[in-house]
Amino acid sequence: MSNLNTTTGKVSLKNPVLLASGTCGVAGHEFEPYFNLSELGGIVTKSLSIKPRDGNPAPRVVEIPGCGMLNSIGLQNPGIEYFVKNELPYLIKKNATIIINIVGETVDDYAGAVNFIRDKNEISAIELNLSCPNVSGGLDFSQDPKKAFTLISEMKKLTKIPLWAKLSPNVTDITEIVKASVDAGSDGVSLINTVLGLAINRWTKKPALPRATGGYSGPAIKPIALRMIWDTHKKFPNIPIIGIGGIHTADDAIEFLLCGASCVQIGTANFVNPKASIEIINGLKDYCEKNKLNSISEIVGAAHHLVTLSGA
Amino acid sequence: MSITRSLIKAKLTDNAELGKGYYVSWFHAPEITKNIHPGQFVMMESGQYLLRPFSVYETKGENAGFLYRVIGGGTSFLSKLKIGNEVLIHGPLGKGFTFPENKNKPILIVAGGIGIATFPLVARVASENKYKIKTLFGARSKNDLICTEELKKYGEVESITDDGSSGRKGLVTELLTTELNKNKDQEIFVCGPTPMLKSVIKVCNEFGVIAQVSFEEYMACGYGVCMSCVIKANGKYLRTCVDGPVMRSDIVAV
Ligand SMILES: Cc1cc2nc3c(=O)[nH]c(=O)nc-3n(C[C@H](O)[C@H](O)[C@H](O)COP(=O)(O)OP(=O)(O)OC[C@H]3O[C@@H](n4cnc5c(N)ncnc54)[C@H](O)[C@@H]3O)c2cc1C
Ligand SMILES: Cc1cc2nc3c(=O)[nH]c(=O)nc-3n(C[C@H](O)[C@H](O)[C@H](O)COP(=O)(O)O)c2cc1C
Ligand code: FES
Repeated sequence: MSNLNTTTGKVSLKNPVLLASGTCGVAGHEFEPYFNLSELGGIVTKSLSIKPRDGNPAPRVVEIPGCGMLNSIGLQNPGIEYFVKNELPYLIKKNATIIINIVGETVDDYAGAVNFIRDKNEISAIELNLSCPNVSGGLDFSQDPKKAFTLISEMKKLTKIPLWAKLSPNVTDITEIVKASVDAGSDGVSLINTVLGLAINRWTKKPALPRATGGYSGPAIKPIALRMIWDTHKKFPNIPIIGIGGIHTADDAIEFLLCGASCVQIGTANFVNPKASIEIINGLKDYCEKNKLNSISEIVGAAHHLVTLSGA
Repeated sequence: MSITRSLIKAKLTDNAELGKGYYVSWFHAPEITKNIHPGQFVMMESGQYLLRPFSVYETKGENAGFLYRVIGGGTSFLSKLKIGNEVLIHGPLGKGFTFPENKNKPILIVAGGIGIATFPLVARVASENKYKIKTLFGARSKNDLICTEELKKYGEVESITDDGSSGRKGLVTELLTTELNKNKDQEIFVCGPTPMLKSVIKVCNEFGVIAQVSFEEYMACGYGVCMSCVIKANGKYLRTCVDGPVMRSDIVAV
């Protein structure tokens, strides 16, 4: 039998397939009719903030035909305190591998939220959402290496739980932000968040989303994600990478692993197929068997090597 | 949570044009016909990236029918499907209409435009359960007054058009006002475009009656994970795909 067990830095995962933040509700209850959360490598919660956030008025989504979609949800969430009281026990009961995603507008916001979970050992990792494209106010933490460094070093002081920095592709050189994050003590980098985009409605002659721009996700952003993972792994082969962006099939996931991601998150694909993540896990199992791999982690970063894998 | 939900490849068994851009597509989908509650919907693969939400219009044995107007890529794709073609159907989803406990309380259907598509099944099931039914239907013009013959099987149908090409000229809220002046003690079921729903809710608020309103917000996932389909209700953004599409009119902000 092949082995999908894997590790991303210090975090052990049953398999390398996780659900991405904001694409699995707040805590994944909605998947109950389809599979058990414990079958996954892990679940990343909706971005949680120190105070509940209402989010933006509808319409919040527009489809980009054949390519994916733009969203402007506005980080609607019930707040970390409510979550810890009412949702975390559910995830623990379900035996899920839990990654809590935190967002904020200031370092204090993030610190306040992290303080609610800093010593909960049921949590496998904290993913810091450094990019919030739907929140106004200049460059955010994901676009300025100094800001990223400050934020992550402050969070590192608060908790021993592994930290993943979730980075935005909307930068000139992703490796600068990666370096700042890792220098500050980040245990891994999640690449990528949505790509800033815009759609025009020809009938109303206005932007399709009320706030004009939105986060682009889905099949069209896969090459962008792969390129950023490629650049990062090439420069920093020892930094654990969590790959995200347009993954719909096991083949997509394999490409991310070959490129240097040690695990992947499934996002928008959940919208078109609630069982996408489980189908990807099964596809990875088959791949290991076909290619006689003892461990799926054998292929991580293989695209950078000059040797070719048999059958791959 | 409903575990009777399924994710199936369903075969098209018939595709009929009702004229003027309206179609009914039938699929062999016993998983849907067995479990559907009137007012619920499905997400359907429609040749686009995202699936599309559609109400179940009627069931015939193991076939589920969907009535729609061709307005874009997805509905155009569905209208061209051939018998035997398969599409992914996910459902039934959401909360449908609740029939009144008091069987003597009449049901008043208020429909606007393509919102009518959800009501033939509602009316048939209500009629099988011995409720008295009346339908008020507002459409743009004569050509958009679809399903009226079918709904007449279950009770009286009054229609009104924006341009006066059939029946009275005006809005469905005028018919509703007249009806509520006659009898406020009716269970009101509403579906239509959002501006029409808001006007209907205002009329209901004026009369102090609570209606069951089915919302048709833009839905990306249809099962609660994306938070795209929200409306403001009870001061919060609620997801119309899981907390609705049918919601009580008194909690919705207008
Ligand atoms: C719960 C629910 C039940 C529905 N039931 C039915 C039904 O039984 N029959 C039916 O004909 N339609 C129904 N709709 C609307 C239907 O989903 C849309 O008509 C369909 O998604 C259009 O897809 P398209 O690819 O053809 O058009 P698109 O290319 O996606 O859109 C074409 C135009 O229609 C507009 N549009 C897209 N989606 C909607 C929407 N949800 N509401 C209003 N305008 C929209 C777009 O802004 C655009 O201008 C329902 C919607 C919901 C949420
Ligand atoms: C509707 C929607 C909501 C999202 N919300 C969040 C969020 O709250 N926090 C976050 O870190 N990422 C969020 N994301 C980004 C995803 O987690 C993921 O990084 C991105 O969509 C790219 O992956 P995909 O193409 O597989 O969807 C959201 C994405 C979508 C589509
Ligand atoms: S459509 Fe995704 S939450 Fe309602």
